[in-house]
Amino acid sequence: MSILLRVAELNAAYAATIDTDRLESWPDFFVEDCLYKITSADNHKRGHSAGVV
Amino acid sequence: LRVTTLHGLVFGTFSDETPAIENFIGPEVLARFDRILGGRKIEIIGRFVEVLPNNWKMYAENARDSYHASLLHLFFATFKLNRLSQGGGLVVSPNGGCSVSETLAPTQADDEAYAGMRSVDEDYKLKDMRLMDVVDEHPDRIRHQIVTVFPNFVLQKTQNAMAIRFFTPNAVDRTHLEWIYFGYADDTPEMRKRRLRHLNLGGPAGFVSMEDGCVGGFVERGIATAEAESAIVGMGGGGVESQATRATEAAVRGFWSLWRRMTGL
Repeated sequence: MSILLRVAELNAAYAATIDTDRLESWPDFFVEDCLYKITSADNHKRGHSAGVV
Repeated sequence: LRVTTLHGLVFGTFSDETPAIENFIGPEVLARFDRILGGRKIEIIGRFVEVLPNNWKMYAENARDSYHASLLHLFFATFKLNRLSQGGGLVVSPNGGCSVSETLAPTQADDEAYAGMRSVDEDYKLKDMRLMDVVDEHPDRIRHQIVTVFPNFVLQKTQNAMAIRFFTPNAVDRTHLEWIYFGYADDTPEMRKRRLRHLNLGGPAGFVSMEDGCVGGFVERGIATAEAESAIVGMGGGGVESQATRATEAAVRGFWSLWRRMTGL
């Protein structure tokens, strides 16, 4: 499977876990040592370090 | 259009009668601009737009309502970042339209005043306490400072995160809220990282700001069903003066009194 499809599948599973209120399983989507970052294309383009998360 | 700058921030007015910005906001509000921006070179570290499903004036109220922070925001109250039992106060500018809400660092280890409050859950713990790892950058123990300027501007410092917010009406029931996060140009890498961590409290997905982003929509939907009705709750009277407590709606009333003087409504 291409990386794009695998990422899409991960995103879908992540969202479905929240949508179906299986919140106890939600932390399993994260590894112990990670940096979780959400930003916008605009901030990325400007080289701004602050993300939405 | 006349424009002027204050510590590099650009303010504009279409009126010939608007006084100089320093007089418009008054000396006490000006002092809080100086506290954060005076003599410092700032650096923008990110910006976002958030769409609010409510009239712009509800957000203007939200920024001035120093009473709601520890009642609505579970994160603030639970982790003792902002409780009314902490020291602090509210400043309202002479024209009513500008304000400062300040919260001091907590002093009591065990605060009983909030026991049983809906916005407090003692069972909640953070795995990564670096979110609370605040460093006092000013010698005044103020941990949380929200400055508003009539009609649509906010300057804030929460823990070590600093931001400017401004909002514009997009429709009667729709508002665009812009966030600009900034640090100081001479931040150490550690301080910059700390600011980025503390920014998780604000913004469209912030542990605290998320609630401000939807609560205006609740009110908007509520009042839509009662167009012909009116109700006023005058908490603590009708004054618009500065107070040594944040359990007050004086800044909200100040906003509306200036708005009424300007619009003649």
